[in-house]
Order: sequence, then C-alpha cells, then structure tokens
Amino acid sequence: MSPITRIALRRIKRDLGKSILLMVAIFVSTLVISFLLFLELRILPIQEAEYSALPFQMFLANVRSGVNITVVCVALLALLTMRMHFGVRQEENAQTLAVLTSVGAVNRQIRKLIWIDILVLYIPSVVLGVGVGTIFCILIESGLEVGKTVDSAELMLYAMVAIAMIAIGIGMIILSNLLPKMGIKRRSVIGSVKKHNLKASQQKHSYRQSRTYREQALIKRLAKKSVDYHSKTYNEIALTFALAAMYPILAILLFWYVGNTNVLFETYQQGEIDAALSALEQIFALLGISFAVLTVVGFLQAFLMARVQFFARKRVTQVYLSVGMPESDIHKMIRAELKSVVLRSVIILIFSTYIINAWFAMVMSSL
Amino acid sequence: MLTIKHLNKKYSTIDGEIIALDNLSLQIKKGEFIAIVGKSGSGKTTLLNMIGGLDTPDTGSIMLEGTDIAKLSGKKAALLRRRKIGVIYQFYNLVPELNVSENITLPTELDGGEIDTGWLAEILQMVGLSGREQAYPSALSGGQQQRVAIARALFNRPSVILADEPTGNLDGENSAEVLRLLKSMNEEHGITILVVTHSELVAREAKRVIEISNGRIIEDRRQ
Repeated sequence: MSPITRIALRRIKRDLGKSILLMVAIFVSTLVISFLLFLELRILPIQEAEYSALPFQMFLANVRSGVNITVVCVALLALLTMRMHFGVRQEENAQTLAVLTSVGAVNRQIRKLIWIDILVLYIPSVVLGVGVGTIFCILIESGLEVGKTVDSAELMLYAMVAIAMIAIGIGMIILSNLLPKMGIKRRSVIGSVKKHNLKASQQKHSYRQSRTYREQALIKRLAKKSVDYHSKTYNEIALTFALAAMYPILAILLFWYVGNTNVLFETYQQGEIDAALSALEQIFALLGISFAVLTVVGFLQAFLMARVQFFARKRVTQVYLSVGMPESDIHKMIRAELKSVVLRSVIILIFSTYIINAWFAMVMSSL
Repeated sequence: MLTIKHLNKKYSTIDGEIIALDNLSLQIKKGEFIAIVGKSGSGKTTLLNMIGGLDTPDTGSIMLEGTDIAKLSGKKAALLRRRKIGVIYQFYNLVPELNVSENITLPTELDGGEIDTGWLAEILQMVGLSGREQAYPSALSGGQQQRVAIARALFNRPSVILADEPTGNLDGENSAEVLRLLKSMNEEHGITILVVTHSELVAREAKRVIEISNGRIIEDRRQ
C-alpha cells in the first residue's frame, strides 16, 4: 500500500466520528428546512381569496413569516456548521501537506491524498445527510395523514432543497480542502510547517521574559497571548458552541412570534383546512425534536473541536514545563483561556439572538 | 558539489520590498559540514529553501551535482528532494498518521522504492530508537521526534542534508545528541550537511561557518 493511501486511510479512521456528526447535523438541517418549506406549501392555498374572511389569516401570515425567517436561519446555521467542520481541517492539512512536499511528495500524490479525503470522508457525509433527511421528510409527511399524497410540487421542492444543500456542501468541501494546498504555494513550505510551531517558541520566550512579574498577572497575560495566537481556532470553537445554543433560541423565537398554536387549532378547525392545520401542529411538535437533535449535535461538534485544541495545547505545555512553569499554573492558564472562549460564545449568542429577534419583530410588525 | 551563483530573492510585504538574498554566491564541496549563522531575517532559511527546491530565486543558479535546482519544475524538484536531499526542521514535523518506521521510510516509499529493512534497522539503532518502530509521533518526546526526523532525512542516503535550526527546540542533552548524529552522518557517511543555526555549540562543531546578513555573506571561515 502506498504511503499516501496509508495516511489517507488512517485520517479517515481518525475523522470518521466527526464526519458522522456532520452527517447527522446535515440530515436534521435538511429535514427541518424541507419540513418548513412543506408547511409553507400547505399554507399557501389556505391564504387564497376564498378563505380571506376566515379569522386566522393573520395567524397564518405570522406562521409564514416566522417559517421564512427560520428557514433562512437554519440554512445559515447549517452552512456555518459545515464551514466550521471543514475549516478546522484546513490548518491541520496545511502542515501535513507541507511536510509531505518537503520530503518529496509530488503534486499528483498530494492531490491523491486530498481527493481520497474528499471522496471517502466528506462527500458521503453531505450526500447521505441530505439524502436521508429528504427521505425522512417524505416519510413523515406521508405519515401525517393530511388527506393527500406527496404531490409533484412537494417532490420538486424537496429535490431543490437537496440539490442546493449538496451543491453548497460540495463547494465548501472542495474549497476547504484545496485552500491549504494553495496556501503552501503562496508561502514557502518551510514557512508553512513553521507557522504552526512558532507559538511554542514565542510563548517560551514570553514566559522567560516575564518571570519577574506577579504570577497571577503573568498567567492571565500568557492566556491572553495564547487566545490571541489561536484566535481563529478559539473563535471557531466559540462560534460552534454559540451555533449549537442558537437552535433552542431559534425555536423559542419561532413559537413566541407565531403565537399559541394549540388555542388556534381548537378554535378554528374548519372542514378542509383541518388537514393543513393538523400538519402544522405535528410539524411544530417535530420541530421541537429536530431543534433538540441539532443542539446536541452542535454541542458534540464543539466538544470534539475543543478536545482537538485541548490536546494541541497540552503538547505546547511541554514548552512551559521546560522553562519551569509548575503544572498548577499551566492548568490555571488553560482555564483562563477556556473562560475567554465561553465569554466569546455568550457574546456571539447574545448578538445573534438580538439580530434574529429584531428581524422577527420587524417582519411581524409589518404584517 | 553545490555551486550557488548570484542568487537574488525579493519578497513584497505590506511594508515594502524585502531583499532576502542579495547576489549571494557560494561553493560547497562534498562532505562539508557547514553552519549558516546570522540574525533573524538575514536570509538563512530562504537560502535553505532555495537549495531544497522549496522556493525559487528571482535570478541566479543553484547547481547540485550538475542539476540547476533553480530551473527545476515542481515535480522535478520534488523528485530531487526525495533522492538527493534530506530536510530536518526545528519542530520535527513528522506525519502524525505514520509510525516511526513509516515516517523514516516515507521519502523512499513516495519514490516507489523497495525498503531496505537492514538499513532501516541500522538507522534506528544509530538514532537510538530500536524497539520504538511502531510508536506514533504523539507518543515520543521532542528529542525522540527529532531523531526520527534525522533518520528520515538520512534514510534515502542523500547527498546533502539541510537542517533548519535542528536543536532550536531541544534541551542541552538532546541538542548534543542531535549534533552527534549530524556529525556522524557527515563523517561516517560523507553526507554534506548545511545547518542553519543560532546555537554556538553547533557553529563551533561545524567545519565551516558562513555568516549571512541582509541576504549577503559577510563572513566565510573554515575552522
């Protein structure tokens, strides 16, 4: 077996868990987006002129606006989740590719490694995630017993959602995997491999220079320097945590703005509209479960990213030990870094909630 | 063996143009042990990159055993690195997915060559890693990882080994061990060694010391 195939297979084995998580995230996101768009399709006929006198038209308008905003938010969150997942691998790949180049791997061999990753690990996660999500949505919709079978307009809608998700996913995969190679071309190979390791010498130097400072202030300062140095990784971890926490907030905002559906269902059940309202009720119940799954998957992804960073930091701590920093101080420093990440997550979360809430409020008030 | 003529390299940065190498010329004979010293940013690593075919000069030539590295395509430069050049970095830079043996034999395997198991065992013995063949880099200390990197650089029996601050991240004991290995490669296997270093110890042990400043050689002494 060639060394490139061997490296690729071991990377696949190592990253399989992360890819399964990504697949679940894409599966549930596709399910939610397809559900919500199906709901819109169901609402559209009820809003036609013949029903305009019915008292719940305002409620349906609210539902449609809420659904539109939620679809956009879930799509954005799904995109960001994919971006986070592939982005984490970028820097890691840059170093491996640079080392391989320096020991004489030719472009063909580097490309082979990249494409094995893309074809075996990434594309199946996206395609399977979207495919299973779409099939589940069709099955659930059939099971809702809304009085009609899945029609061609709905199938077309699901196909469009699936194609869009797969196209965006594959585009991101290719960009994320080919960028490190382009990065190596832009800067020297030695520069590429050095870039990842300079932090160790910089921090070692910083600790030596700062020994005369008060211990606590020094640890905080080193933690800040580390957070600044690893800002990209830490921001990604913070963003992933915030994204995971965004799902329940999004669900709360959606339910808050569309009102108490149960009351409306009981009050306004009328003839042929029953079926659509029943679908709406069940979809809202399923949305709760879907958002819960997305939250758990998001937190698991954030946990995996944080774990990778933790081990990277653990390796760097050898440098601190070598210049005499006690282990207790190293732990304090890492805790200080963690606090900073949590703070960033909270800030992102508050800011995003504010924006989405304002968006909901603006759209609802314009109805 | 290695003849560098009128090498020039400029980099554009947001602060303007930086001259990394300024009409640098150098003649290196087979079997020399050379330390390249100089302040940070003086052009040492750029020179090493050029010799390794990892970067291309704006003008000038680098003749290694009759081949002008500066004019090689990416693929030919890669083939040359596999067969004639070994590279050692300050931070080891092993492939984490490969174990010790696989990291050492990587350049040969990339070349589609047969693995000489006897030579592998000899090298492992030389770098003191016999019995750790199956260990992955994450399970090795810094000193051990650097010894794997040295073994990898040596395995394809290169004409020249380029080492970029190979002792820069090691303590005194491991630095001395790395230096001993470099000297042994030079003396017992006749491999030309070029070491970029800030270490006085390494510079003292080299047969020739070249000091670079602002991309020019300001001192070239044999000792």
